[in-house]
Amino acid sequence: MKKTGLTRWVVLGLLVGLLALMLAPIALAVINAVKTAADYAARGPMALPRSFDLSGLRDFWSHVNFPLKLWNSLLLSGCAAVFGVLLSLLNAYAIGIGRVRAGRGILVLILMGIMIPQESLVYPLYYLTKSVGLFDSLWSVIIIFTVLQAAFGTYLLASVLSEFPRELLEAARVDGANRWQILWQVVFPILRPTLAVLATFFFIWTWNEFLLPLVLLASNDHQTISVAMGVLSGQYVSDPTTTAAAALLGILPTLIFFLIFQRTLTRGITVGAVK
Amino acid sequence: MGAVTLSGVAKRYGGTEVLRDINLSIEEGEFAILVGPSGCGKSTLLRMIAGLEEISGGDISIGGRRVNDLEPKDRDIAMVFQSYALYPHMTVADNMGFALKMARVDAAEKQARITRAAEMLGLTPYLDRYPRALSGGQRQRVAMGRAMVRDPAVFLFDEPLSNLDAKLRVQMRSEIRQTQARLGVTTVYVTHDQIEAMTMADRIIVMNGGRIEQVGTPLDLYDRPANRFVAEFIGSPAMNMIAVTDGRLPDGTALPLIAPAGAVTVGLRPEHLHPGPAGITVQVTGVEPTGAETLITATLAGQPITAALRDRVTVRPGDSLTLGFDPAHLHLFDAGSGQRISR
Repeated sequence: MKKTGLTRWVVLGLLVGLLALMLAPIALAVINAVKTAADYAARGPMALPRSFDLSGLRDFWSHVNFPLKLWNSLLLSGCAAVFGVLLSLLNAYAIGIGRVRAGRGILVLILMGIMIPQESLVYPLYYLTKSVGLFDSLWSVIIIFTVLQAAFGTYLLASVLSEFPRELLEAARVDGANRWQILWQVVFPILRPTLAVLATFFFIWTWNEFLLPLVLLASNDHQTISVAMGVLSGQYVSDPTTTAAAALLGILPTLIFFLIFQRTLTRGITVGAVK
Repeated sequence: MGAVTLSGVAKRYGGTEVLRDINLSIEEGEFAILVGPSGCGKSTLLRMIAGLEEISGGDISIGGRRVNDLEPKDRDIAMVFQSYALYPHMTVADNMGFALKMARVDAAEKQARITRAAEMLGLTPYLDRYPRALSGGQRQRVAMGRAMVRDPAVFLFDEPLSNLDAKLRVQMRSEIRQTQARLGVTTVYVTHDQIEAMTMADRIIVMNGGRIEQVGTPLDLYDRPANRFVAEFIGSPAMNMIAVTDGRLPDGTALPLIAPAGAVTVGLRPEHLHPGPAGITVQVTGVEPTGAETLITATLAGQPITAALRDRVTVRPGDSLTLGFDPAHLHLFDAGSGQRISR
């Protein structure tokens, strides 16, 4: 069906509207991050800046030791992405290709890990990490997020792998490859684009996590960027320009990450879709 | 070393028996073709020889060694799949060398074997390409090459030509046959295409409903089909089957045939009919000239009959036509069991 000129304009208008809606918070952060506190106090958050002052950014940078937080976040997200994908692949290989007994049941059990709200996990996880001596260690959150992300990853990859061409696996078997070799020499290389998408998603999702890192990473040196941003506003103190600067700095790495992996991500939208 | 023997082989999925009591021996160097309609169990049988399906009963031995419980890689076989199953992320050379890599064959030997197979199959210019950059026929050859470099005792082919267009299929048919003859490797080949079977096989195994109907050379099957199923399956167009009781057609017309008393089915190949002054008189329903021959579809006392005539005939639908034949070309089958009645 050919779209008329008018429909095209309406669609374009809607899309522009949506784009503006998505960009508004970022714009707001930019506007307020470069204002002086006085400018903000006098004219409110919506006004365009009359002053140009980077002290908010500088304050936040030094106040929270931004490079350290950045490193923590990168380490956490990077490890969760890599380990999460690895664990998902191993699980899914067993369920999707190995056809282990009760694979479907296992999948449902794993899925419950996604469905249970994180808030209800906080308490048990807190005591668990305490009892194994991982409290206030980045490893505790790395392990937890690896498992949580792998729940979704297993679900996705198991369905991708159940559609994996059988004849390729059989050809590899006839060629003398054992299961381990089939996984790494046949399945893994063919699945690499899908795994890249999954890793990218895991990275961004973990990056944005707030509650569990807040609870489990008590000391300042172990906190991540999202936690650092959160603790900026105390009960009686609030410094909107610094908060705006923090928001800007906080999303910047993910934004850069997104721009680098944009193609991978858009390809990821079709993962698992019917060809 | 490469003989394949099946004795009492059976396959059950749960309670369903898809293959029962298969006894077969394929000699060393022989090109044996399993042929039959879809679902007859031929692919399952091949996969059981390969070790990709478990065996529910009986024994399979390759080169005198019982292989029932061996992994595919330990059976000294190589297989060519219907989809070719080339590894998409590997070059042609890597695809062909994968089995050797898994077997830890040293690099020089591996290279030599790949080079030799590639030369034989005309793949040398494509060794660095990926499968997606190859045509269907080239992919087919790579799949062959992958099987060849392993120097196995037995080649197994699972409908390898069914994804190719008609012209290429004819070409690949003779290429596979020539390659096999040059290497002298025992080959078991599955197809549902009886022409493929007739043109390539040393011996054909006709299967139907999980059983072997007949084993024989192509001309054996064509000249002396053991039963109605084989008679109708082998040969194109299919053999005419005419129901005859006490030498008469259902409408009472006497047939000038030497038929025994009682109910029989008379088989007559379309190419054995020719226009003649004496014989059977049929009502023409369709005329299909192909150039080399003319295909006549007609009815004989209400029963469909096809004739493939070499001579040009000027008949039109609705006309009557008298067709003669040599009684030596008649096949008689029991009307009930469908088994051949020897004369």
